[in-house]
Amino acid sequence: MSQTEPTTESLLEEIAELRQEAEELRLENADLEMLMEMNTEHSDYLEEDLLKKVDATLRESEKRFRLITETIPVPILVTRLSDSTAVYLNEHLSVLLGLPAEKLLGNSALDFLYDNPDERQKLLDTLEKDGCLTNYELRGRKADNTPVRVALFSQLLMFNDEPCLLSALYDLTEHWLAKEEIRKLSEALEKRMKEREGKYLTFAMAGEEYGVSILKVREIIGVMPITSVPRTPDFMKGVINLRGRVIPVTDLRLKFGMDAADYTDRTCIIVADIEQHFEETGKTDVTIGMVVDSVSEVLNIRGTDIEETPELGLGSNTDYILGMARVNGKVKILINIDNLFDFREVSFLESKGKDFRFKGG
Amino acid sequence: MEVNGENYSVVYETDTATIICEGTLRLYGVAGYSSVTDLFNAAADQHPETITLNLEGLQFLNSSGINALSKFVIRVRNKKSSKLVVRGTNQFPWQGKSLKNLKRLMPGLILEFSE
Repeated sequence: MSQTEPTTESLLEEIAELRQEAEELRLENADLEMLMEMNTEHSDYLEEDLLKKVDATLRESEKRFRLITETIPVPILVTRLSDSTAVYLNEHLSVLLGLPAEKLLGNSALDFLYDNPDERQKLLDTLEKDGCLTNYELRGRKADNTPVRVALFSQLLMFNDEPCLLSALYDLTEHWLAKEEIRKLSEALEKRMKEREGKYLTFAMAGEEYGVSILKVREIIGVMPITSVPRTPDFMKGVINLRGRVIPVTDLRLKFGMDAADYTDRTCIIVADIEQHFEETGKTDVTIGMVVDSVSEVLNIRGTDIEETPELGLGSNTDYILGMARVNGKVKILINIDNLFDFREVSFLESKGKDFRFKGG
Repeated sequence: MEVNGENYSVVYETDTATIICEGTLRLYGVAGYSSVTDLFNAAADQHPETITLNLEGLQFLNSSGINALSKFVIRVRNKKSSKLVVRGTNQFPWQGKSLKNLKRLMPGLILEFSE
């Protein structure tokens, strides 16, 4: 087979075609380069635009966050999760803790919020377990060292690109103090009820019933000769000789400002011990006799049946009344004989007893 | 002809030879834009005297979208049978930057911006 040699014309045609193709490829290449450039520029612009929008959204979001936290009347604190450093707080928290924001920001919440720093770990453990804190009670201290109790409501939050804890604090201090006061009052009331309940010797005077703790009563005796003592108060009837012991005797009617009554075979002398504090001797029991119209019975009175002494008006000294006992629909006035006589009266009674004992030899 | 998506629509009005793009075009890659590209090509292949591309309602166009748009401009340019008018708006800032670049592909392209 023979191969035909290409003619000059055909070669020129082929060259022209190749040049045309090369030109088309050059144009196409130029278009592609331009497309790439346009695409890149468009991407750059979109990226920039999106970042601006993200920034604006973040700023707006932060603005809203601050607006909300400054508006709601609840102390808000944001602390770094890693070291408890305060990175944001609102005015209400400053007011609660009594410290300006600049003294709190940048400092560890362990220094200004936690009374016990170990509490932080417990808090974190609860947070890890539950994912958030709800009504978590925390003890803290104010700037003036007064205690503060708060309920924490906390959530995890990314703040300034760091994992943080957003906490709303509900001030429970007033509530807690009120509860403490109620607890103390309840305890005192219960203690007082227990102190008051027990056996009482009841007696009558001018138609009214009275009671005195049986623990104070030594004995009950009938009326016996009373040796009067000159220059003594009206209620001080004198002294008796009780099995060799000289006891000062008072008339309770007169002590209570009632009219005197004739002594009858029902009249009794209740011999009881009064506890009194003397500077020289400290706590001392002074034995006295109290003349009453009649002695009724010994009653076991429950604390719940004893009510506080009602207000009886300005200037009324009711310290000697322990309470009002309700027994079978009647009221019995319980007497605290330790408070029945004032210090001078007891000193006087004690001295009279000693005088006569001395004189009696 | 028209292509509709969740947040966008591309409509070709044959009587006025106008392509109207609206909404947010953020389809993925060449494949994502195939229907839109088909609509563009169909418009170019009809050889109208003037093709109007109305982008005034197009809030967002991603990179693959600008690529599809650029190829459409090249196609119209290469056919040499139609004038191309692109209507944009300054309301959406990306248009001011990227639509001007279309003139680099087709210097005869007429660009109109509304406020």
